[in-house]
Amino acid sequence: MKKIGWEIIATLFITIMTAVALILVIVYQNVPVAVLVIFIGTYILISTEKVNRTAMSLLGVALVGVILYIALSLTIPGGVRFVTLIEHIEWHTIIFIIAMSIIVSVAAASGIFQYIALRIAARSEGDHKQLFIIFLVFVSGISLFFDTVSTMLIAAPLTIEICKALEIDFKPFLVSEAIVCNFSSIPSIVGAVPNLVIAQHQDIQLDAGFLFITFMPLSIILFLVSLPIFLRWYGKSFGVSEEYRADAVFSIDPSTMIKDRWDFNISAVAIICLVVGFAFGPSLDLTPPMVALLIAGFVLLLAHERANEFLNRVGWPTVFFLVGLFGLVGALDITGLIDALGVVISGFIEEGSIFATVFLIWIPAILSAFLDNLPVSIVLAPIAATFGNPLALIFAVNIGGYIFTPLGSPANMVAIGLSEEQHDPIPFIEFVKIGTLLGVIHLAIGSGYLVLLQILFGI
Amino acid sequence: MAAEIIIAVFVITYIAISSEKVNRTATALLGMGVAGIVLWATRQATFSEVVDLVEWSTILFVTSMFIIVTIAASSGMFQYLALGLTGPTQGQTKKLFVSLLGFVFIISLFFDTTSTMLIMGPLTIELCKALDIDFRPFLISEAVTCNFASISSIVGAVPNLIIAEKAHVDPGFLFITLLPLSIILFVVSVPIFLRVFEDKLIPSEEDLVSQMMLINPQYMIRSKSDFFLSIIAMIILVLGFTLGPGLEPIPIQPALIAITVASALLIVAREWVDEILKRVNWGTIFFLVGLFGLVAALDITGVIDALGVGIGWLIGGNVVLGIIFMTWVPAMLSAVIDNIPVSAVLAPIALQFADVSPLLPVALIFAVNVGGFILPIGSPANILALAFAEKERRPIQMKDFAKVATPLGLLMIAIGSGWLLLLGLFI
Repeated sequence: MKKIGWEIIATLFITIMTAVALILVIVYQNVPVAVLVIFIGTYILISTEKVNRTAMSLLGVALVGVILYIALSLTIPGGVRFVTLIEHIEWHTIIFIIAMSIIVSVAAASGIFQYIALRIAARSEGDHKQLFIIFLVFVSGISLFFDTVSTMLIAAPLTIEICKALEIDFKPFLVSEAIVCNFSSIPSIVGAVPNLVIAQHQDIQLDAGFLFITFMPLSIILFLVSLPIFLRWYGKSFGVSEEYRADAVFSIDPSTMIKDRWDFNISAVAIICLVVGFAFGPSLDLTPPMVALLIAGFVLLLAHERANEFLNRVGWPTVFFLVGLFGLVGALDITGLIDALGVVISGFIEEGSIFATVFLIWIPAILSAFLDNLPVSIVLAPIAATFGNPLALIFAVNIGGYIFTPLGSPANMVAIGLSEEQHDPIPFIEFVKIGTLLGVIHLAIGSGYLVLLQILFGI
Repeated sequence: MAAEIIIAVFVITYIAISSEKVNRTATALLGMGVAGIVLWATRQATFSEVVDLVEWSTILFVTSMFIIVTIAASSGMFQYLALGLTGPTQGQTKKLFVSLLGFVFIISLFFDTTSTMLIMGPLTIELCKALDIDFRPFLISEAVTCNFASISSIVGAVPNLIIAEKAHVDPGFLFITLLPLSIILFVVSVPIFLRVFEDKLIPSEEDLVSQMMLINPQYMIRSKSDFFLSIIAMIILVLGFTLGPGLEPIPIQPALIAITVASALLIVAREWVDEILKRVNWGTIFFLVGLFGLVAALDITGVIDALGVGIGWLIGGNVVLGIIFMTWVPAMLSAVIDNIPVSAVLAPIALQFADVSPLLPVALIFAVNVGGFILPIGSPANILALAFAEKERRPIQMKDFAKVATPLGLLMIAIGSGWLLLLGLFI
């Protein structure tokens, strides 16, 4: 309420957008275009970062609800009841995100991640290069089991702490970790929310084991290619910390990091169950959301009176941002716009061809570079289903997360946000340079890999 | 086989929740997860089917109402209203008590029971603390009142919405048939409350009273712009809830109105959206999610259909039997089970018997609302009242609640079934 200017501009913008949409519905009886106007308008307002994105996406879905309601009561084709719109939201994915946030917040409070980080970092003995490699391997390991945002929320604070103790610049570490956590998630269905959205889409139903087998080699190749590039890029800033510093840090007994034994043990068991569940569940049809919800329920139950405190720590703004976004995409789906987009795309690519694969890598990657990769996945998943290449889409949206701009993936924003908190912000342009360089290389390698798979195995 | 296991999971979850030894939210979510596992193991349904059957529009409605009430509460609007309202009582505890209950009665017509308690709970506690009187009798009576006062309004309670939507109840018909009844119930219940809580409702000290009465209600307003926005939002909500469901040909769903108002308020509050969202009572919302998930599992395994067939066979075509059945049985069920799932289960059955008499769905609405307070776990409003007291570290024991509410609830069911039978002679 402090700076009035933007509220008024935003309110005006929203009013104009709503008026245009209403005119389109009432006068021209054109529901799809009206929905599209609201969708694009909402997106523009969110991208300005001047309005709260959670509030805006919820308002967007509410306005679409009003449009569809008016269409229904005027008996214009395309109108539906609000309940129907809500049913189009991917609640399954929402439940998964909430359950994962609960588990991560309980585990983070127990100190288990600090414990693990101190354990593994001690091996570097103060050599920066060693430490850098260890952290990247650690990040790529946990990326397989946690979504990118959780991964960064776990890894970044630890990195900052250890780097500060050793008097190293933490920015190269954070930038590299953000990039690694994005591309390391591709083989895992739970590694990134877009993967889950694409894989669980009703027309795709991608098998988790299949995804893992096809993409694990690729993700290892990408890691091996990126590592020397990172080391060259940041090589001159690395050295060796004075012995006394390294000793001071690594002589700390990791077990002193454990804030509460009971919580620690519970978290350890929960994470093991989670990993086992994610690894073996999907082949038995045990979907990740169910595994995550069960474990979150248990963890909350054991946290007992602190359960509500943990619930409050879940990133509700992000959750409801997604609810709004899913609702908006649901409306696009209801009005047939997504089908129409599919028809347009099919006009110039041929189903199952090599060109289709390459197309489905580069276009979504470039889109995700500028838009958040989640909405891109939500919109494009049905189209990828039509052309039978969800693998290309999963690869593309993950890589697209860090190419050209850091805006593409929330994990990057977490890294930048945390560095700002330390009053040592990562310069935007720094991220753009290394991200784009690696992103283009990764996309090229990935396209080659997927085309090869297609030629060899017809996948 | 699956049905039996799901019923067992359902019953065990309920017993665990009622024991109050475990966290409610965690248990409900865990119950939903276990139900998912059972359905998976017996190959009945995938987890995503269970998730899809959760009443998400109700969840969004409740969340939106939480957000609106949080914003309005932080603007000082309710404090303003409360001070303005209680000023004339001159701090006499009994008068205060009655005027608060009257206020609850009126706003129950426009807000669902949970929102009513969300508005009234913190306000009552603040008032009582200022006057140094025990707030627990107030909270218990308010919870009871907000439950029965909402019977005549379609938006007065979430169960009303569910039943009216599924069983095609006309909002006007509902209002005409049940408003006199709710007034009768109010007139009957106030003297009873005053008697039961006689020794708790002691007058507070003079100086506290005079101090409070000196406060100008205007000082309660923390932010002028938030205050006016909240008032506008409330007016839109009341209008929307009153007129929306009656719109022809397609009624506006209250969830749509609530989410529009909530998100518009959030836009204006842009800097502290995160703060507002943190203050929403997620524990209660996820308790509902878990509960709906469990009911969905019951639905999938055919338990609910079996129940409908059984009831149909019992009632036959007899109006008197139907009314008695549709009041006492759902009331008893809502006493033990949350009244929202009870309504979800019984609404299709009520539709089936709307041909016998249009009073049967109305009887169901009456029953689930009154049944909601026969035991404290029957309605989310009661649970909220308990939660507020707990937060103030002066918890209301479940048995203390039941001691007052259970006899009162049974009396009201008796009065109500008499009223409906009387109406049955004319309609």
